[in-house]
Amino acid sequence: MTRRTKLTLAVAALLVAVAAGSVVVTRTHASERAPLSRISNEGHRVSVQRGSVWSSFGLRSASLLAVRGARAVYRLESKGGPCVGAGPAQEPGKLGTIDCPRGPFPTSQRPVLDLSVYEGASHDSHDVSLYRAEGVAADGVASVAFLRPNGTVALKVPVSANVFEAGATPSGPIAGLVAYDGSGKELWRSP
Amino acid sequence: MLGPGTSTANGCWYYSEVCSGWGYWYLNGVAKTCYPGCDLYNSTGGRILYGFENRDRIRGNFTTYYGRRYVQPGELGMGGYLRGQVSWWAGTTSQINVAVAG
Repeated sequence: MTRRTKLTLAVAALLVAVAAGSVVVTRTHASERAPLSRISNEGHRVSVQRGSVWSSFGLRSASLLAVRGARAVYRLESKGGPCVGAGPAQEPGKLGTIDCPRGPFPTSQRPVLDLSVYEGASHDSHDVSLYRAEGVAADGVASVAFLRPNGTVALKVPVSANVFEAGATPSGPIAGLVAYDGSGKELWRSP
Repeated sequence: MLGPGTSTANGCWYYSEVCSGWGYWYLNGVAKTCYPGCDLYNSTGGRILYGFENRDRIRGNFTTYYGRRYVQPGELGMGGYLRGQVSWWAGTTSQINVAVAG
């Protein structure tokens, strides 16, 4: 084997190795991102209570994603695109809140849509407590945690069928939200 | 425009807040634009709290994202004589269109 042949084979081997590595890296990234970019729970179609303000909202369809405790969480289609909604579980199809994000959801940069209700009781401070924890999360999110201002976990809520909810919440200030995967690895933190 | 110091000067809960007059409101609707810009995921740099308030407390949902939101007082565990509100919470000034219905 000539020196030139050896060099050609070495370069070819290097190129193959780089290409194989790229595939592995790409697959790894893709497999990590995909669960954070989809919501597999399609729910089941329900009729939204009509004759209300939502009739002018342009709502086309609603699917019930889950009932958790006293709450029902919906996936909605409107004239303007997909939305998420929630309402009281004892009145199926009654929406009380709707969030229509413009842009991709979920993504690895935004795997959680937080519908939680926060409360302030002081005019002078921006401290807020959690009145109710509720929201929708991507497939890859196994739990979410609400953090104290010092970073400790105040409340951890499991995500099931892309929905999380907790009617009973701890008192005291809340300053952020973190999403974890099934192994407890942090995936995302609210801004 | 809703940013630090923005006020409707009608006694809202927070200093940097716009709020309606008192009423038996049914719905608060807020549309947040991309102002002053959105990232690839349509997040702006401005975080707002939108919802309702009474004389004892203020409640609402947070967002930093471009989009439309609607919330009824009952969703926040509130009712009766209220103000609809949107508060600047952090970050850049937000551009919003907001209306309450009663």
